[in-house]
Amino acid sequence: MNREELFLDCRVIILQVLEQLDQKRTAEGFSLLVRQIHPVQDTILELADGGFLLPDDIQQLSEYLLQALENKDAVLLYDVLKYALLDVLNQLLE
Amino acid sequence: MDEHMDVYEKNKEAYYKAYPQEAALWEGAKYEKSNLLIRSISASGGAESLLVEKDDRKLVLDGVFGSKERIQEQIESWGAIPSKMPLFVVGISNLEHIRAYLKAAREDCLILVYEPSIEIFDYVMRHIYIADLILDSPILFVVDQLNDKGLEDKIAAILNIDTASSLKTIVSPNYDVLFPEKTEAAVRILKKKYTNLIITWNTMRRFTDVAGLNSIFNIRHLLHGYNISQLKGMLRNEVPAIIISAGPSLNKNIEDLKDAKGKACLIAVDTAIKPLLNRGIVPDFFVIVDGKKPTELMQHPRISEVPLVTCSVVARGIMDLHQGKKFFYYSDDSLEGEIFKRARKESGKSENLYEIDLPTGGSVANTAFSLALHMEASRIILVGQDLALTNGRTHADGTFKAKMEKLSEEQMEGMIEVEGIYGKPVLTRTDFHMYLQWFEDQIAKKELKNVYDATQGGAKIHGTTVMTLRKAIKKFCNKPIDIVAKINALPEMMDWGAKKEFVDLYDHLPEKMSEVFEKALEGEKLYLKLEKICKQKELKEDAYRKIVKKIEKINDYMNTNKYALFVQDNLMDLNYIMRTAIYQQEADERDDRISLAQQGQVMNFYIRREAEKWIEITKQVVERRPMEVNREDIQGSLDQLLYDLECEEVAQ
Repeated sequence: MNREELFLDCRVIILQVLEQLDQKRTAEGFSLLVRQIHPVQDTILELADGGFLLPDDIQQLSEYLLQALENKDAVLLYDVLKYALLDVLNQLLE
Repeated sequence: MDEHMDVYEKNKEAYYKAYPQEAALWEGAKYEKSNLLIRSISASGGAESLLVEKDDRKLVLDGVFGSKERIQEQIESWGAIPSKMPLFVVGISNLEHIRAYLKAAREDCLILVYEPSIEIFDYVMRHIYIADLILDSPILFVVDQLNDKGLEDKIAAILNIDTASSLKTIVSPNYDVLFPEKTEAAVRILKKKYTNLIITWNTMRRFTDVAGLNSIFNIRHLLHGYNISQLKGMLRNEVPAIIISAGPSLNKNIEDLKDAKGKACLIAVDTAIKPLLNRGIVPDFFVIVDGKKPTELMQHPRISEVPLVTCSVVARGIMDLHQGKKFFYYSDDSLEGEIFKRARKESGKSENLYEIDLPTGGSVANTAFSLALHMEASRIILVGQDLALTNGRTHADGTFKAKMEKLSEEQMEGMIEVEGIYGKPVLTRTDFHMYLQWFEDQIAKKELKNVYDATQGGAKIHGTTVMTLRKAIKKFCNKPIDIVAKINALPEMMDWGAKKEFVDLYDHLPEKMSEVFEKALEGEKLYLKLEKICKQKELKEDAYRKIVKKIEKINDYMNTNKYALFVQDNLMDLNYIMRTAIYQQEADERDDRISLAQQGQVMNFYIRREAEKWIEITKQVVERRPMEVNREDIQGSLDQLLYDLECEEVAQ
């Protein structure tokens, strides 16, 4: 899978999770993300390797994503996915 | 000085200024703490978000990457923000969102912020500068354990019918997860207040078409009427009151009431009067509130024996049918207010001429309950107060029909389930549920421990003690009281001077309505001129200001003159459209002015038409139902003196 395909896959997963959270189906949103976590993790690694984000930003993003998952914090998850990860992917896929 | 210390001192000073009692409680740490750990975390753009740890779970109170974007999206979703928009926010969080709402809203918006955690509030006060929001913004802060008992009143303060449709409610991020019960309770209170507001408004609209007519027809009864102020404290906390409602369970224990006569104050609601009189039970009072109650419900040969507690806007057929003593509570009718004001001026004993309201939750039983409190009953015993369906029926036999029928399946739709008096769930109507909540609110607010529910069926009224009527009578109704004698000893509320003044006002009603007509016509013309001025390419400031000044005079008249207010009270539907439209502003200043001028013309046009109608009605009423004061109205030596003086003047 090339980088673009990975980003596209990741984008679709994020949109699906956000859709669940928007519908207040929090548990379903978390469960979906846990099942599809690998492409998301790979994307974050790819963003770091490709230098698309600064190391500090990558670290912050990863930490908050982990914190959101560990604490089942739907607010934080939504925030990380929509305003950090999806924003970057949208810019890169433009 | 430490930066945080500076913030803390400034916030504290501001809080003391705006909320001195709450500030003392907060600073003295006179509150219960839970196990919350709160800290700040850095968010994008150099901002700070709050992180709360509760039960080994860490939750953010705001986003860290897209906080501003999220808030902006929320504000954009509201569309154009109207003037005086009420906003209810649960959770102060880091107040960034509240600052953004404040910036987006107009200056006259009303924001109520409820913080369900004293610890979060404490953290914010120590770390985030909010002194400006406390002192110089239209924000009301309600905080857990400091002033949350006042939440209901504060919510009521930001809601009114003009702006209710633009109400916005925000639950700050993760507050629903961290404080589910308190958040839910706050939203429930808001919902209740909002629903009550709309129901009250709709009730007013429902009765608008009859309220004015009832008032014009009924005010003549004030001439020989009594004021409920004369009943204040009559039971001296020594005698109980029994409120007799017409719920289906009344069939079970109506006969027991015979034993209470003369040992308690029996207050019947309107629909219960016939079943009582049919059994030879003559209550001490019966209460009516309904403007459309059918006269047939009261038709009984002995009806006039029972003193009526009433107001000027109730069904006029019943007011004419009942020839006995009438005790008036204030109906909030503009005309009635004017009558009392003028009568007071000319009266030698004006203490009985003050408008006394009886608080209600919409039901006549609520009003009867307020009357019992007003009379200072030692205990209040509720009978026939089912507030739910019993055996599928809404009322007792002998009320609307000799034998009440069960509701059909279609009628049963939309019913809600509540706790029954014996613990099992029962079905009730939404309006009954509202009355039930009113009882419970009153009992809780006033901390009443002396309310007994002897209904023997229906919904549970929390805060009351359940007891059979027989037992309640045996236990509490021991002291004889002659209420009839007490009532017979009371003078009518108006003395000679007050009556003369009232008759003068009554006779001049048509002229007063004509005055409203003329003013509305003048207003219409002025607004037309204003529209023309506003439509000109360049606004002529002088001409504009001149006309606005004249319009202000007319508007002052319309807003203060009691006859003008009476006419407008009868324009409820139009009133609603106009009142809400006033707050929907045009984007362009010129369009805004033109729109305002057009609205002014429409408003005055309808007032004029309505006034025209009332000129005719008052002419007919004054002619066909004349009022006069004669010798029989002399109630004391002062009246006699005034009468003699008048006779002398006539003789000369």
